[in-house]
Formats: sequence, structure tokens, C-alpha cells
Amino acid sequence: MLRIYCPVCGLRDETEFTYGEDATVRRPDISETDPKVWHEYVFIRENPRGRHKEYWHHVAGCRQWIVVERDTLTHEMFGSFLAREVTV
Amino acid sequence: MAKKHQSPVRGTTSDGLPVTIREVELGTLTQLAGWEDFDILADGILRKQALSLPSDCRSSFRRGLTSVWRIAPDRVLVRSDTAMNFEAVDEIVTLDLSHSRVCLRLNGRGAASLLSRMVALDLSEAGFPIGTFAQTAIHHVSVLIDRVGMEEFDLCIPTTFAVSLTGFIAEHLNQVA
Amino acid sequence: MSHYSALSILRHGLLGNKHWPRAWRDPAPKPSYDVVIVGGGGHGLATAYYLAKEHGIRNVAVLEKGWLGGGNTGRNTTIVRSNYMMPGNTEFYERSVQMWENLSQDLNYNVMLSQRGYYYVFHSPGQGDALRRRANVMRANGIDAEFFDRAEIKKRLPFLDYSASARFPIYGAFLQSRAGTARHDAVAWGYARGADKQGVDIIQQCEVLGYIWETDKIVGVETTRGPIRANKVALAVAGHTSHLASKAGLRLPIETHLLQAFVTEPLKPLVDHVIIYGGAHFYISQSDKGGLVLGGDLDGFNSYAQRGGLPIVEHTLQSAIALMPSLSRLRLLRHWAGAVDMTMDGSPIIGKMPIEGLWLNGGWNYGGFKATPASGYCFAWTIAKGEPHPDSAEFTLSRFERGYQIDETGAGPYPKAQ
Repeated sequence: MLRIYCPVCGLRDETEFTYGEDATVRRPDISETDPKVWHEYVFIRENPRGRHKEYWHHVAGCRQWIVVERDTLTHEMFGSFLAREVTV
Repeated sequence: MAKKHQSPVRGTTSDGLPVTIREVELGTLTQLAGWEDFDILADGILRKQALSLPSDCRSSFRRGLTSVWRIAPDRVLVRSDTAMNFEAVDEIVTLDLSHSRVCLRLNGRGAASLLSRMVALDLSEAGFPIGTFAQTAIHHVSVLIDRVGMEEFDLCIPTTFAVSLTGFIAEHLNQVA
Repeated sequence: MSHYSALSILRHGLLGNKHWPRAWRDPAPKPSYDVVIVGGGGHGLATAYYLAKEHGIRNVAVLEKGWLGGGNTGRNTTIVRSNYMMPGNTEFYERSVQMWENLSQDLNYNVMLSQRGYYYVFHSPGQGDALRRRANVMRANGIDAEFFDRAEIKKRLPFLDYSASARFPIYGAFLQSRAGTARHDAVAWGYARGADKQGVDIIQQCEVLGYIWETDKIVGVETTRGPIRANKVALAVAGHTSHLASKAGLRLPIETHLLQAFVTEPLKPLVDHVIIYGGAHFYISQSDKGGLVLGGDLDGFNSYAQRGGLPIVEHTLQSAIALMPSLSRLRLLRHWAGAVDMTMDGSPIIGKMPIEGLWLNGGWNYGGFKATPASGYCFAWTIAKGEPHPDSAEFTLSRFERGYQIDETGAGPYPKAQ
């Protein structure tokens, strides 16, 4: 089980959250015309075996989006922030 | 105000502790939500009702029969026995949720024990102090749990799920007449 | 290396079973090979076997970081089927089932294929229509598919929940009778023995740490057992594909997720087929030891941990009981997880990579076991000939860039939803 620290609600069980995947992905500007940039954004992922910055949405709690840093091999947590407060 | 759905449920948990589940009057429930400057603007609105914006998202602020819960950085719920006539302010949205929630009161020595079977929260006094609240889910339905006493919890649950959720909670008890 | 037969069993039995030869050697790695395959699971070993058998390429090493078949080949729920609907998938998985049908003979190793049939139970007219379409695509491709209504299914699978209180009432089911199960370990061992017999070196406890480069061409691998040079380095490490690819500077449309599986205490024969629950992502069959083998959803977040959490245990068992209420009386005996390559369209990637000297076979999501024979066969072809086999030609890495995703579930670019 993951225990995820929500900056608003405190330490909570993973079942209160929806996984929002890689938080380092940046949507290109809508005026971007290079298809390679869009391809990177939509499909290509780092997928590290190690520390991963990812979104979680606290749907059963405060309903805020948070960015969590978690080790994908050990599930150790390294910090959570409100998504609005972080430039990843 | 939602009608009362069922008479009180009385029973014991599997560890023999008594609990009563009773629907109580919700009163009025009003949400204030905003964007930038929420802190200042919401606090201003609340002070005109002799309330104020809580600084954290765990403490239940009380004045008489009115409770104020800060449920997100830019969202507040106010429950009261009377109508709240919040002034209209640009950049703050007021929403009347009085019909969308029903209030269940869990009461008895087994109240925390009963809840522990349904929510993944630390229900000890240290983990969930009296006078604090938590937003969580029971059986995938969002609920707000307000701990009013060591053995007393008010649950604000969506009206749509009031009957089924009350039934779900009651199923965890050995019911007595 | 002896040939397995009734006679050999009798002979060795009379000798006290003390003289069986090793099934495969344990050689030290040579300094170089023509082909190095990274990954000693079913797919990697099958690739080595077909490189030798079909293409005469025997100067091959299979490098496995742990023990042979200890990755997803040892962790899956053993289902074999070919009920795929999208062009690119349909023919590939059917090739695989046809190879399964002769595999024990080909390998002289009993892989225990049991073509017991695969029932996909459905719970609404719409779901029935979708399955009917799938069945028609299969039949149009010469693959067996049948369709039954509720009354017929009630006769065939009487232990499912047909009561009025069923959470999702059963409307009927789709059946592929040639589908079934096989013994997962046996496949790895059979291919290992067959490859070794043809001269392939299988090297366990040998982890690839990086690549040996000549300018921008890969010419070998750095391992925990020293450097090994190769003309071609082929990855077959699904679950860890991104990890190995990143060492070559290659980023892929893959997220690694964890998938749990379960086995109950053994019981007398009850579930004679593979049954899929249409009300949730859940599947069940019975192993020859008597335990019911269950599987369901991903936990839903990136993980290489190969262990999952209780929310999915609860969700999977809820599905089990919703489908077969009698299961509630059973005890769960064992529970484990694997790390799977979830791709952006739910379909695999087999091919030459945009880095000279590097080949890749991965992205199997949660469906790699059934693909083992065809995957090995097609990957070997691709490596040997330098161009894809027709049956795996659509599994390109470039399909995402070109808009040719093979989206079997129709979920879009969300790995956790495939």
C-alpha cells in the first residue's frame, strides 16, 4: 500500500487518490507545429527505475492535484507539494 | 432540507461495542470557493457573520451551532442551523449545498471502531483529535467526517447515496431492535 | 543431453533417476558472440532457440540478471489465447497459438498446453455486441470463435452467479475453444534446453550494466560478469525495457506497472476452463495442482517493485466472488506480482532500434506469456534478416509517430488504462 502525504489533508491511503502519471511532462504551446514535439509529449516517457515525480489527484479528500516524488523500485516517498506551487 | 430516510440503527461492532447511527438535521450547508486572494476575500465575507477563515484544513471552527471547515486551500464549507446570507463578492462563488448532503451521527463507544472498518484513517485520539474533521471516502463515496466527541462523529454524505451508504455502514453492526 | 521419451523415463527410473543429464549447461561467458540476447525469460530463450533452429545462428548468448525464467515468465497467470481484433495483433497471436499446439513435440519438453477453452462472460447487450464483433473478426481470419446465450452458459458454467441478486447479470459468453493454459516454467525450461542443445550459451546471474560503443554503434554489453562483445544486442526484458533502453539513450512509449496474481488453496476440479469476467477486469482458471489462479487489474501506478498492495487484492477478490460466489469460502494461498511494460497503445514493440546494433522486443503489457513462441520466432527472424516478419510487422516503435497505434482496448495513450 502506498501512504501518500497530501499537503492539505496529511498522510492518507492510496485509495483516496487517482494516479496522474509523470509530472515532468510539459504540454507544448498550442501553436507548436513540430509533430516531433507533440509525439514526445503524448507518448514518450522517462519511466525511471528510481525516483519519479508524479501527479496524484486527491479525489476522495481535498480534491487537489499534488506532485509526489516516489522511488518506483522501493515506493519510498520523498516529498509532496501542491501542483500549483511546483515548477517540476 | 432532506427528509429523514430511516429511523435510528442501533447495534454493536464485532468487538461488542455499542453504536447508534441516526440521521440528524444537516441545517444549511454553504460552500465558498475562489481563486486569487481567496484568503482575504473569504475571510472578509465570513467576518461579517462573526466567523473567520480557518488557517488549516483539519480544524473545525465552531461558533454556537455553526461549523466552518476549510476543505481546500481555496474552498470553505459552512454548516449552520440558520441561513447564511453571505454577501456577493466578485472572485468568490457561493454555493448552497443544503440539499446535496445528509448528516449521519455515529454515537457510542464503538463509533471509532465502526468507522475503522470503512475508512483508511487513524481514528485514535492523537490521529484524529476531537474538533477536527477529515474528508475521505466510504465505499468510494466522498464523505466529510467531523469528530465532535471522543465517541461521536458527524458524517456529511451525499444525498444521492444516503440510503445505500447508511445501509452499508449499518451492515457492519450486529443490529439490535 | 538425452531425448525425453517413455523409454528414457523407464530406463532412468530403473537407474534410480540419478543419471539424468543436465537440461542446459552453465558456461562462462565468452568474450564475444554474434548475437547477445539480454533477458533469459520465455521470449529471450525462444528467440535464441529460433535463431539457432530456423536461421543457423548458434553463436548466441542469453544473459539473465537473475535466474532463468524468474521474471514475468515465472509470474503470469498462464493464459494462452488468440482473440485479438486489431490488424497487426490478430495474425500474430494466432501464429502463437498454432506454435503452442506443437510446442511440446518441437521442444521435446512437455509444456503442458491445455486447450481447455476461454469463456468471456458478458453482462449487457452492448458488451455482447462488442464481443460478437471480435468473434467475427476472428472467424474472418480463420480463428475459432463461438457465441452462447445465457441458457447455454448456465449449462456449461453452472457455478457462476445466475441469481437475481448478481451484481452484473450474465447475458451470455464468447468462447475460443482452442485457447487455454500452459505451464509457464516449462516453456522457459523447454526453450532453454532446446537452445542450449544447439550451442546457445545461457548465462545466468549476469546483469547488463551498460553498452560497449564504437562511435554511435553498439558493439557489446558491460555486465556483472565482464564485457561481452556482439554484432547484435537484442533486448527481451519486458518490465525493464525502459531501464535497459535508457542506458543506450533511448526513451520509449512505455510505463512500467505492477500486476498482481493469486492462487487459492487446492481443490478438486471445479473450473475446467479459463473464465473472464466481463463486469470487471478479472480472470480465473484452475491449475493442475488444484489451486485457482486469479488475476485482475494493475495497481495503477509506475512500479518496478514486483509487489502490490491490498486495495487490488480486495478489488480482485470482490470480482472473484461476484462471478463465483462459492469462492468466498476459499483461502488464498499465495500472492505475487510482476513488473510489466505498459505501452501507450497496449500493443508490443518488436524491431530494429534507431541505434545501430540494438534490437528490441518488449512492451508486452500484461499479455506476453501467450505470445512467447511467436515473439521468439518473429524476433529471431527480425534479427537474422534485418527486417520484420510479416506477422509482427506492425509492432514498430515508429507507429506512434506515424499515427498507427494498435489500440486494442481503445483507451488512448494511457498506459494504466490499457
